[in-house]
Amino acid sequence: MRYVGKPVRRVEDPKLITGRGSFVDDIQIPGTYYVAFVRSKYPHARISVKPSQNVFTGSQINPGKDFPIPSNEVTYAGQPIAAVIARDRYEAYDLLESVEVEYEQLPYETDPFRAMEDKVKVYSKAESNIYAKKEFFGGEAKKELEQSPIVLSGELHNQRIIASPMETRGTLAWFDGNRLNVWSSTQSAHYLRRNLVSFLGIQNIRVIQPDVGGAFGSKIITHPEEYAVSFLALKLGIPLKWIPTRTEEMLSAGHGRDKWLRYKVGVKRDGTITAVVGTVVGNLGAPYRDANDDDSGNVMSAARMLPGPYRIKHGFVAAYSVNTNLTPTTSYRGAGRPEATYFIESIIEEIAEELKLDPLEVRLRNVIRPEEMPYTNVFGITYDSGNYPELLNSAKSYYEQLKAEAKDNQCVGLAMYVEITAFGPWETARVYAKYDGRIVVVTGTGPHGQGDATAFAQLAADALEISMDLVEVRWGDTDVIEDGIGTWGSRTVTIGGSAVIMASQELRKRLTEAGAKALEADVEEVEYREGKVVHKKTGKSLELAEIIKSAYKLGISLDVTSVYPVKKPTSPYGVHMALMEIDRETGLISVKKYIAVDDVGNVINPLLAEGQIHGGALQGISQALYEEAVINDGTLQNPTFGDYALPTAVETPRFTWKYLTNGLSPHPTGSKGIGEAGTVVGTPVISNAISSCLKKKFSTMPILLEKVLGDQ
Amino acid sequence: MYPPKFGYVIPDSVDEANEFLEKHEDAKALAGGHSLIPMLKLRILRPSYLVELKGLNDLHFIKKEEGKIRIGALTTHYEIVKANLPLLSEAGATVADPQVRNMGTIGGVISHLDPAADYPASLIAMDAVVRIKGTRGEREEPFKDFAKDMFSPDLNPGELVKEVIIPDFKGYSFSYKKLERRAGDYAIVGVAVLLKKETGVVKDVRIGLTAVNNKAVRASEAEKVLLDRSPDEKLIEEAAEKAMSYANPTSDIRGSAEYKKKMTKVMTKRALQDALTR
Repeated sequence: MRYVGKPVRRVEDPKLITGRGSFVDDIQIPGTYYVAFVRSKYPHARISVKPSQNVFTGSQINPGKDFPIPSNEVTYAGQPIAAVIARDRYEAYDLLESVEVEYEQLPYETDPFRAMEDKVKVYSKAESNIYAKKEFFGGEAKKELEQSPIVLSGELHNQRIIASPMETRGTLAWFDGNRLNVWSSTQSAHYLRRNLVSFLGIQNIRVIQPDVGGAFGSKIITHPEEYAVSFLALKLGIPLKWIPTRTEEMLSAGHGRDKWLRYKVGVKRDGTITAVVGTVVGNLGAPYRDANDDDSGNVMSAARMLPGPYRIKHGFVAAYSVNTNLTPTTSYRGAGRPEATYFIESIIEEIAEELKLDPLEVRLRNVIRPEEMPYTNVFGITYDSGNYPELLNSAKSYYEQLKAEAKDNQCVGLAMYVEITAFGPWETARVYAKYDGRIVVVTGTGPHGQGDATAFAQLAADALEISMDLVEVRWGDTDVIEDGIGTWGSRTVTIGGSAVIMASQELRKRLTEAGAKALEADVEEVEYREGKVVHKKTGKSLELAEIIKSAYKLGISLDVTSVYPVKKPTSPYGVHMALMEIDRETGLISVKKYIAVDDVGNVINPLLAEGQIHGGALQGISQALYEEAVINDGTLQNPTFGDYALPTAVETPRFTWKYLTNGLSPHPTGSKGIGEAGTVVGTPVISNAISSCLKKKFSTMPILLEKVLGDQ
Repeated sequence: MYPPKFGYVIPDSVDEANEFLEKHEDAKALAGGHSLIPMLKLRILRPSYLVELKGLNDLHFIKKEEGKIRIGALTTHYEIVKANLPLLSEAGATVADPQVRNMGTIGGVISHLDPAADYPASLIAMDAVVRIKGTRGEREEPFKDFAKDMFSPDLNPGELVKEVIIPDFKGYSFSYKKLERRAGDYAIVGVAVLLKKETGVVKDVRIGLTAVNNKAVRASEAEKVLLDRSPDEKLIEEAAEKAMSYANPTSDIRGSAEYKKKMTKVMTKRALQDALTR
């Protein structure tokens, strides 16, 4: 281990701190025209758009269909319904005002429970508003519940929030006479390419993911506008660029969470949970398939992760993904697991309150024992490794310390999580040596801020026993690697990194072979060490640069691509806690300190892993205290950063991060994902702290000032 | 994001600006641009011309004279914060964020008259006077009359705010308390207090409220509670209670009307306690 495990500084930083990044709106192609979209004012309506030059509707883009661009029927306010094309964006937005849309308003439904009754059709051509329904069960939940001395029941809502990356979506598409080139602010070039190939029916498409200013799940799917812009660029043969305004972005993309749990939980007097029975309902918004497929999976995750890190042997949960006339929901950092964690951790807090037990003690009594690992929860999710009681015990000292520190107006809260990360089905890495001695790593993933390139350089440099300075990491161009999956599901370092290790090891093998040949020896007679090939007997050696030159001359390819197949996801876990101050006169809450104790397996780069915890936990805190998509009359009421409250540095606590490594993953990196962990657990940490302080149960968020005072 | 088209005028003098604005009633004067430009970008306004005031140095000054302070309309929040003016500097420091304070001006704030703006609580408490210049000369109006209603200043076509005049309040202590969810927000409730004490007795007290009415108001009955008295906690409580009756807030994304009304009391109490202990 030379680099892995060390807090190596980001190789991505130099260009970004000198303004030399290249995000999609920095890219210029001569003769580019600009696209803007007319958006629906109403949640549900039949539309007719008056045709005119430079205005393109669903009838041209996807005739007869209402997705991605509606031909006849809009199903959410903010839905793009026609594209206009102009020489610059000022002109494009002038032109938008001249587009005439006739609306015939239709009844709409935004409440998922009412929508499930199918009285009002969200979309006239859909058979039902219920997009998916599944039941997960194990043991004898109903019987256990009846026999439990204590049964708690209630309803929790994990509210709709908006991802709000600082860079919005955006696309530049250009048909160069031969192929369609598409630059997009996306989480994966390869995945976007596959979707465009299937939508446009042509193969010759190159997709480039340039620098991306964050996504948090909102840029996984292919958005209606991306399909439309690519279609129009192909049809018109001119380069087209589309960058939405922030308001458009907030109206139409990045909506996540919005899931409900109605539950009954059986508990013994000692605090152990006997059974959980519940219904999870996810409000998917409008029936846009790309989004629904994404978030319906998250609804199922929310249901199946409901038991959390606890030994709950009896469970039944019915999960419903329901369409309504709201913006389609998509993954948002955590993608279903934050909802599950919020649900179960709120219930644990309720148990602690009910039985007058310490919340940490309640967890200790319920967590899965190390000897039970790997453990398959009652809904079929397997947690692969770790020691939950030990982590709880490690967290305890910080917890006690915070409690001792807390003044009268301060409270301490905590929450625990177990996560599923590092999803498959596979990932690619290409590692090759340039004739001049540089080692190039290309990943099939699509980092967009997480700093995985630094981790990949560490992994490759260690595998090849060379200096990181010799390694360059590239990604985000469908032309430079055969294929890829992408960056989401906290999978990149673990799955992408395992592919990098495989390819680096294969390159190392080839370097050894080339070195042996150049030394006129058999492979068995030489040894690869510190980037050199050494003859074991004679001691003669070749430096890396010499081996590479020889390989080229000998006709040995030093270009390796590996595909790493994924058998199972892996489960990190941890306990986070916060010290907060409550102003009991105004209801203002400030989070003073936040301590995270995580076990994410092997930590490749603690500096960057900690950065992910800070960012993730702050988003979790923000969901508990600030963020909410406020919907009225079927329309988002707060589509600006003036009204949609993202936290500033002033609202950000001091973070402390500690990690244990009791649970390594089975992957070559030994790592587990951490990208989403902070967001998964941060929210219940805060809501639990407030609940315990105020001795009051909160079932919705954000916990606004007036709710703290008990007025609402 | 994209403003509608407009013409742009760079006058050489305030007179020229007045004349142009008088002739073109829908033209808008541009100062710091941190309310006007956001409105243009949302296309809430569609003026024919913007008249650029930046560079008109006649409107850019802070002058301390015998007993009063004259603040040129183009004085920025940042400059007000740095000038150590009674109450107003403290209020200025709470306006938005550093970038906005570098650009925004006092003349712009009071010509715009957002009902949640910070300065008006202080200006109403201070009996500030607004000096207005038009093509037919200058006039002075008390701030309370100048602020006719939300977003409605007493300005005729062609007129510009030239300066804001406040007494120097020598020997007064003061406090501005702003309730906000996040740094940089508009006030949920803002309370400005100025008071003068002699041997523990309140000789003058002024309480201004913002964000809880169409325009800033003085809580005069609350002031009366404290006048010529030595305030203790009970008295402060009583005054704060009275202040609450001056709040007639609306429910919005920043809070319910009921909550804001309660907070008027809390913030008044805090501003009074703060000013009394300074």
